[in-house]
Amino acid sequence: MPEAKSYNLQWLQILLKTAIFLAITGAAVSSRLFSVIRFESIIHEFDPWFNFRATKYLVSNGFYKFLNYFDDRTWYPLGRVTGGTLYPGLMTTSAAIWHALRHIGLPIDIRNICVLFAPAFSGITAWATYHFTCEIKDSSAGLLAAAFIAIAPGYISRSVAGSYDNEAIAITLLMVTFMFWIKAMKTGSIMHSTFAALFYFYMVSAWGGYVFITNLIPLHVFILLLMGRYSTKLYSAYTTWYAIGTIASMQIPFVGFLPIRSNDHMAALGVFGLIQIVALGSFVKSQVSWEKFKTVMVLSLLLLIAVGVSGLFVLTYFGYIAPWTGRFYSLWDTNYAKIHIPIIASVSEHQPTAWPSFFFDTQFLIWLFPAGVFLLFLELKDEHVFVIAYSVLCSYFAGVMVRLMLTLTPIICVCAAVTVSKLFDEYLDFSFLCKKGSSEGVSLRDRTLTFITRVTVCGSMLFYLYLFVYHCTWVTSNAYSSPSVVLPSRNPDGSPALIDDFREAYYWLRMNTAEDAKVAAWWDYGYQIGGMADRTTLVDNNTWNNTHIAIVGKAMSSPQDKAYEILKAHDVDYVLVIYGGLIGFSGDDLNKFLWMVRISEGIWPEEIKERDYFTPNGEYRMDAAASQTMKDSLMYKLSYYRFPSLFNGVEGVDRIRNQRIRQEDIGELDYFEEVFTSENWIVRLYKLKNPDHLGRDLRAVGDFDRNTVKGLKKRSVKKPNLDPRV
Amino acid sequence: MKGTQLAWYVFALFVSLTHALTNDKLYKEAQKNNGVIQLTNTNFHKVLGGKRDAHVVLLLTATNPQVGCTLCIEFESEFSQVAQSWQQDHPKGLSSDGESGLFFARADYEPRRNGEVFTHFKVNNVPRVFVLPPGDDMDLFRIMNLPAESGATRVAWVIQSLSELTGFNDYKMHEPINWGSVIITSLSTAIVTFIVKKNTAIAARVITSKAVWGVGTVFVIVLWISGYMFNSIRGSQYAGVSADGSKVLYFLEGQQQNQFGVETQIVSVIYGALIANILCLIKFVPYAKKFYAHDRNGKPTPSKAILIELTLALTFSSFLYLSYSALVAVFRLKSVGYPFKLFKFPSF
Repeated sequence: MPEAKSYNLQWLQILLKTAIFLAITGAAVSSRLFSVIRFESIIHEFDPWFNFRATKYLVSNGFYKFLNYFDDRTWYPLGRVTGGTLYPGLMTTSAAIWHALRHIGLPIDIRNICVLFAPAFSGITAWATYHFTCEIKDSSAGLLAAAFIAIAPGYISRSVAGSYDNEAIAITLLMVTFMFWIKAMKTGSIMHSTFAALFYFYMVSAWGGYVFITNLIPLHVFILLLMGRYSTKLYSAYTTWYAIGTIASMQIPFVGFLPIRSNDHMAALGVFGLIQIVALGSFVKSQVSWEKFKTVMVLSLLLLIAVGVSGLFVLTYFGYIAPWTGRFYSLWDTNYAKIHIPIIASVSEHQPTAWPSFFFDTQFLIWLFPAGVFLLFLELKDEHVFVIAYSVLCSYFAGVMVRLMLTLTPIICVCAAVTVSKLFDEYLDFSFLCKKGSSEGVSLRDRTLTFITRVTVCGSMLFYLYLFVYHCTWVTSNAYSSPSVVLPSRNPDGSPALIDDFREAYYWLRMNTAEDAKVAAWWDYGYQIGGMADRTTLVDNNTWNNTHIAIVGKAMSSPQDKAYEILKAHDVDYVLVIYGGLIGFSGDDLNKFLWMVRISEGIWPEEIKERDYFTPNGEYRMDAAASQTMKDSLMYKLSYYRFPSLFNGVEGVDRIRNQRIRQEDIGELDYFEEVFTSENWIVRLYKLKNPDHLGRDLRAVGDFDRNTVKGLKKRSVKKPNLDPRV
Repeated sequence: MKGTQLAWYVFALFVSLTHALTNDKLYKEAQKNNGVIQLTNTNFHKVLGGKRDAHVVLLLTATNPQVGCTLCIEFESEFSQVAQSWQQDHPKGLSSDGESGLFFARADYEPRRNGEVFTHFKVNNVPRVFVLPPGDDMDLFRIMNLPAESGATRVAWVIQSLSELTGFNDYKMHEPINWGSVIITSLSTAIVTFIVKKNTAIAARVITSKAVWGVGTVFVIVLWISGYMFNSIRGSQYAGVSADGSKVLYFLEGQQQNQFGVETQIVSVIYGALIANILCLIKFVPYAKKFYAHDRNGKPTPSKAILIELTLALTFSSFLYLSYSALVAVFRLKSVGYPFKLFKFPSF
């Protein structure tokens, strides 16, 4: 948008921009509120529950205690050094907001701050995207980009109200950092690059994905150097950013000395070294003749490469720098995770992305995006190189891992905005209509034809934009607004109903069990049990200790007597399983069961074998054809215990797997007793029976009891059938 | 020397009378056919019956296209990779301690030549892999289940379970070297290098051309956003067949998290069309308008230019609309209940 010349028009422009921004922020926030309106102000899913718990701890105990927070209620009996193993950015931000609001006389429940955190920050993301795109093209593209990012489902998916996760703040910080970086490298301003470094620090404190920035900015600089676009502006921007950013990021306890040790950060260090050499080279070049410079260059290059490569080898060999971390490595070698780290492969967020997800998350932006990249190629200014590198890298990452759609979405919005605004630049100019009787002598016919052209092109684009808004609203409301703690459902008559089994069960746990009771459940539910039931768990979503997770997996895959031993050895009082076969909830434990088997097989390959859990034909079944190992496993028994009694007592129908479950396959449960089953049978809780006071093993006790009952029955049958004597 | 050799032959003859087939004989039998013994009605009792010191892995299959067993055809090369992996480390087929061995046999269903083998093992579905332990009872065997995932995963799985069944710990998987691809790669590299050498100036212009890089980048991005990585990680099927086998399915309908390989191609073509049209609207139409704004003599011809602009813009807009409608229509196949649609194609 060109700056208007007249003073009044400038004011009008500012007024319009402000109005547009208010509207965009309003749209961004309100479209994220579906879940609050439909359900209630509640924290969603799994990880947010941990963040929420940590925030509450921070608010009530203060910052220094928070940094030293040792949580003895998870990972029993190990505990977790929570303060040193989390990214504190999210919690400190919401605590700061809480304190600030309290100071100005607005005491708000910390839960509401946490729930509404993500929508509020999405407004700031839109603002940062606006400034970022302004640097790339101009303010009209910026406004479009801001509008896109405000409502694009790909970003909403991780930032609806209640989704109190690191990503909620991370995308905002990502865009702010990039915005300052672009400003810095364009102007060479130390102030801007210091801001970029500070926001980078903030990002490091908030999300593990900061490694993306750590590598993207050096990549940008590196490509510019390769293209021969070295300038002193670039030098001052990058060196300032790197020096301040690295030292600042090392202040985060969880990150520590990683920035100078781990290979994830080596690219940044390498480019930092390279730019010094290039700077020296360009200085020498300006002082001596070309011939001399050539010799100097060749010699020093050879020397540098030799020293660099051997140095890297030696450092890695002696263990001063760590190899790639698994999660990062799995991005490049797509089979790596599957083979080496089943726990990463087991997470559905880490699956590759099929094409409908891209369209679903960005609709028509997805095809405007490559067009935008191409248009930027035609200009190819320094800042455009950044956008192109970002686009290529992130398209790859998003294709490999579903959850990285999130980092791709901002750049999709920027590139699409560039395309749309270029189209509007060409066609949205209707000023010729006002120039009546101009000297060029444009006839009425020509004017009409031009008008038709422009109206058609702009009209169709406006129609697509209009459709996009509807698409986004539809996707947000249908796919991304379920808290997954409360499940939406429908009654037989079609009226909406809520399935609230999780909270029902967690509340039962909270109210009816000892305060120090230990609950064994699969790690997915660790944070929720900690957050909602406030009971000690063995494993949770932090997944820092694979062996500990494998122990729970092994207990679930072993026969009940072995499982009892394992669980007793870990002081467990209750076992919690999620079973969806009655109501049709597909994310239940039996569907995750193979991962439990696989993860424990990784630790105890002799005792647990994945193949034993399949039928001889290699099928994963639960009915009569299931393998004996499967039928014996604790998970099978706990999921189906008493299930056929809901039907005819002989056979129950599992609605998820569409299989008939027979009572005789489930058998008896001697070591555990059922204490609670939620309304729709989604959560089932079992208590470990106390050891027999006569010292028998619990199976013998069970057999004895059953025999007694049988004996009683027999006796009752044997009663002499006396006819009345006549 | 000759004496000892003769003595060996006599000994071998003697041994072969008492034992049905020694490891050595099995090896020779296998050598006739690329390391895999071909079983027929006449030889299968001799090969499998009698006392053996070696394990035998037997594949009963039917690769004849008329039988229509796709799995058999798929498994054929995998089985030979399993066999070759063993033979590469154990040239004589013997285990590392020399006591035992592992040999591979197969019978490809031909009723007249080897029908009896199939009746003997009471096979009613193929492919079937039997593992016969050493001993003299050919009816003592284990049937191996084949996992559903094809390719290297299945080969690794078979080798893993064979090494468990036989107790040979040194059974490692070896990838066969694809000579064809090596030759093609080196040849094409040579040709490209040659051409570049000859035309350095043109090559330099191509390499530094923004448009070339732009097209390349856009191509790669389109590939990635249309699910290419999904196919290569999951090894998705190229296309499907409907339940009654009469129709080819191009889309896994109603599944947003899953796709066929061909979907990537269809979708990337649609994306390509959309991108081309919008770029033409932005870049080509103004260019054409400018081009026709003056005639050859430099006289302004605004009416002509405007007419050209109108025609081109309308054409590209309508193509854009059609391509976008196609994309939405295709997406509607994948996402059940997606409420929006554009132009309705008669075929959908």
